[in-house]
Parts: sequence; C-alpha cells; structure tokens
Amino acid sequence: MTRSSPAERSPARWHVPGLRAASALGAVTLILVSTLGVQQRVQAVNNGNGIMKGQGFDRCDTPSVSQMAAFFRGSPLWWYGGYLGGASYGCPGNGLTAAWLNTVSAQGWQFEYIWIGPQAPCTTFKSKFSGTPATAQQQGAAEASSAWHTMINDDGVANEAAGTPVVYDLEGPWPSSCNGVPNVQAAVNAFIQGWVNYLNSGPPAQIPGVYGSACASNLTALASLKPPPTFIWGADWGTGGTANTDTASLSCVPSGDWSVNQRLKQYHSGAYSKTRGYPSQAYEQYNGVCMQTDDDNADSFTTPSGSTESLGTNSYVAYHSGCLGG
Amino acid sequence: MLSRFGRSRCNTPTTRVRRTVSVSSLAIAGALVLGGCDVISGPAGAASPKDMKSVPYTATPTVAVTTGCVASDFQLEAGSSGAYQADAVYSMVLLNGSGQACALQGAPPMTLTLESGSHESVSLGAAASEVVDIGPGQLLRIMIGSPGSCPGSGGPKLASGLSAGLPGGSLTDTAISLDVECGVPSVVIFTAFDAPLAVPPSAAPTPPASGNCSWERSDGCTYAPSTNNGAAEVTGTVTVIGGAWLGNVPAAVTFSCTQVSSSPNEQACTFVEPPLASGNVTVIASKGSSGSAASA
Repeated sequence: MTRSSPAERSPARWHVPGLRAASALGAVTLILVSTLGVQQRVQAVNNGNGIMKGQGFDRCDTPSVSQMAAFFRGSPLWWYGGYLGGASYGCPGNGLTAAWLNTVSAQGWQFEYIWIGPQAPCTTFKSKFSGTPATAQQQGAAEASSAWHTMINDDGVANEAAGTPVVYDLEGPWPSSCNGVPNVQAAVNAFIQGWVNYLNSGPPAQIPGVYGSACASNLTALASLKPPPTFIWGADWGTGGTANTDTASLSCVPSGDWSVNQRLKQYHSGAYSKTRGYPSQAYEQYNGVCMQTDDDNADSFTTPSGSTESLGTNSYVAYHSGCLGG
Repeated sequence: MLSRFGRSRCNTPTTRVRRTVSVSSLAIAGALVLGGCDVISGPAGAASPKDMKSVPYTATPTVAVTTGCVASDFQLEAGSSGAYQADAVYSMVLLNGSGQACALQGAPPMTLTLESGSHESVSLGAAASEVVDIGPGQLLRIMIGSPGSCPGSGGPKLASGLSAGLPGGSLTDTAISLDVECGVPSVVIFTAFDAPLAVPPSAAPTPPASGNCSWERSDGCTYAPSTNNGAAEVTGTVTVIGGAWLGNVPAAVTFSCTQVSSSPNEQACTFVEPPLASGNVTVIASKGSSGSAASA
C-alpha cells in the first residue's frame, strides 16, 4: 500500500505561525497563541524511536503533569503508555494532548502511544470492526490513519511522526464465531494487517505495534501476518504470587516470536478483577504522589528515543505504604 | 494486607478516622518553591533523562480530609464507553464541585437500568470498602465493566442508565451504553484523579498577563496576574521556579499560557517579555493557590 502524503490526506494543513519565534525564546514550551478562527498546531514532542530497556507504566486516564513529575524523579520508571484516543477509549477525557506531551517530555519521560479503536466482532464491546476480512483490513488501515492524524495534528508529534511507534489496543478474548461471522480470528488478523500495512507504508512510516492479553488476544496468531506487527505489548499478569517482569517470558507467545527488542510486557494490573486474581486496586507512590497504575517493562521501541543503558532493574515496583489519591 | 504480589492496596482500612489527600499540583508547586528544587524543564532533550532521574524531589505536602462526601458535592460529568482489560466498560465521572475535599467510604451502591426496563445491580467487590478521597475540583471515576465476550454471545443486553446511591441522594447518568450480556457488571476502577483538560488547548485561556514579582525564595518568584484577557479561570498566581533571567529579576512579566490540566489548573507558559534563557525554567500557574506557599 502506498500512502499519500500528509498534505494530500489532510486537507486542513496546520499553519504554524510564530513557531520559530517561540522557539527562540527558549522557554519551557512552544506554545502558539491562538487567534480567532485560525487553527493552531503545537509541536509537542519529538518523533522517532529508540530501544527502551526499562520499566514504565500505563493508566487509563492521563495523569496531571505534576503527578508525572513526581513519578519520574528517583523512580525506576522511564516511560509512560498513554492513549491517543479511539472509539473504544473508555476513560474520561480525550487522552494525550500536545500541551501535556510538551511538558511531560521535558520532564524526561519517554512514551508509548496507544490507539484503541473498534474491537473484534462477536464481542460485547460498543465499537466493533467487521467480521468480513476484506472490510476489516480496510478498517484497520482507517484506524491507523486516524491514529497518525491524531499524533501529528492533535498531539503535535514532530516531522509527521516519522519512525514513531504506535500501538493498537486489541482486547481479547473473542469467540471463534458468532452469527454471521464464521471466523473471528480471520477478521482480527485482517484488521491488524490493515493497521500494520498502513503504518509501514509511509511516507513517513511509523512503527506498528499491538497491545493485548498475551493469551486471550491470541497475539501469537499475529506472528503469521505478512508483515507482522513490528513489536507487541503483551499483558501477562502472571500467576502464583510473583510478577514476572521478564519481557522474554510471555505466556502463549513462543520465545522465537518478536524476540529481538520487540516486546513490552504489562506485568501487573492496577484495576479490580476478581476473576483474574486482582481483588483490589493497586497503586504506586513516588515523592508523595499516589496513582493507580498498570505496571510495564520494555525491551522494545519507545518514543522519541529509548535507551540501552541500564535504566532501572527488572525488579517489581514496590508498593509504598500510606499511598493515597488518584 | 498484602496482595498476591506482595503489594498492599492503598486504601485498605475499612474504617477511617482521619486521612490525608495529596493536593497534587498546587502542593507540588508550593513544595518546589519551598524546597528550592532544581527544576528540570526545558525542551525535550535539553538534559538527559538519566540526569533528571538523579535530581531529588521534595515530598508533597498534604492536607487533612475529614468530611464524608454527599451527593450534593458532585456534578455529573460526561462519561465514556469503551474497552479496558478484556471488559466492556463504562466510566461514570463525578466532579467534586463543593470546593472542599471529601471522602467516600467505599464505592456507592449502583444500579443499571437496562433498555428492557429491568434493573441490574453492580457488584462492588472490594470497592465497597475502599476509601477514596476526592480533592476539590478532582474527579471521581467509577468504571464498571462486564466481560467483553462469552460463549454464544450475540444477544446484546444493553444498559442505558446508571444510578449511584450516595449519602444524601443519588445521581443518575442516563447517557451510558454498556452491554452486560456476558456477565454481572462489576467495579473495575474506583478512584479519584486530576481533571483532564476541560477544553482543547487551542481554546484554553491564553492571557497576556503581567504583574508584580514577589520573591518567595532566591530560586522562585511568584507573579500575580493583573490581567487575564477576559478568561475567568485565569486567576491566582503564576510561579516561576529556577529561571535564569537574562539580566535582573524583572518586576513584571508578560507571558502566554496554555492550560495543561483544569484541576488543579496547570498551565504551560511561554514568556514573551522578558525572554528567558533556554530550557531552565518551569512555570506553574495555579488557580486559587492561596493555601500553598506559592501564593503571592
């Protein structure tokens, strides 16, 4: 698939008046003052990628910049998984914003961008993609287009987000079939193929990833796509009382799949889930600020860069007593 | 109580005499001024993340919360349907508009109204005893979910209303959409959080403001905006921390801000006059920060 240029695809090109002047001031942020009737664009954060080997966290709603500042200093956390948006974003607010990214990236954070659009057919999710593979593949490409436009227009990712990793949140499980849909997995594969192809095609190309339950979202089935997602982010909360943070160990995903800096792992959930062994919510606290979080480890792409330094250990993020708040 | 991964949950006590809550942004602003923290802002890449990690951070002051929440403390905000960790979910969002922090002694009893006209209770689980403090202007998020799939699914059982029974009354959200066909709806997340942007950045107040500087410390300076460009929300103070002015500390500044979060009100600001040296200043504009050390 050949992708049209951003200008062709985006009729409302963003005008960037004053950006260079604002930059020259060298202040904290590059903020453009809006004028009546004129759209503005904020360059929030650099594009690109690097291999991150370190811990991070994700969360349904976007933390405040103050919370993020408190969570960065002295913590083992280096990156944040945040939602760009999508039809299945079930949290308050609209996800990441340019101003937020601008400020938080200056704090030192790296990011993993998540898009959560329609989900598999035959599920109870409000937004679902088609059970017909050809249609599902088109829808996957359309979602990739929406994610890309959100990155560059709403979130201000620089240089048309060239080389920026972006992850599709694919919630499982799904039944093998339902009325009118004989093969749900085929539709899932086609949808993700559309996502992958669009992001791969460019110019400029991004780096397509997929988040899902390591087992329930059947991530291993996506390894057979041509091409497959460049990297995966598997939720694998473990059993038996220990959190295995090792990205090389993902249940239901063979060790040979996505084996070279191609895995992130969500090893703990902060939400209630009695059925999955989480009767209580989980929080982290750093520097007096407490947040409910999902805990992650990376050996793969983050943006705008990563690090192959030893950025923290793979130890479990410790709970601190007296943790209160959001 | 330790959970399965050796982690205890935050709000374990089921009875509570007095608890504290972080007033995150405002308090941090005050803490930064009081503690003279090195502030690490600047364009991305101005300093390495590794260097930033090593900078100490001052603990956040807290304020006491002693009041139980009542229904009239809250305003119903727009919720959202979606998918989260294998569940179809709906987030009910309540704004604490009372102006004071309050605490909920567990998730309130909740009932779904189905499109069929029948009702179904929400399973609270451990959330029934989870104490959550909600600061003034903070949002309470109650996400309820039902499994996203089940064998033989295909007969939607849609809920269109959600009522929460709070002390002093109940609040009903009639804009929900949640399919509970695959299992009893239960609480997935019950927590307070800082409000996200109330408006897109492009529509946020962007006042050219100026005012007199009153130093709190040698490394911090608080300005009281004298003009707000007609934006009612831009009141309070603007605190400049760790800045390296080009010349003497100015008596007045002019800047443009974009709202980063609405509660607490945080704004990212660019200085117009005088300019600042590159990459070494953080600005925290906070509405109504009279209780913090950042007050002018």
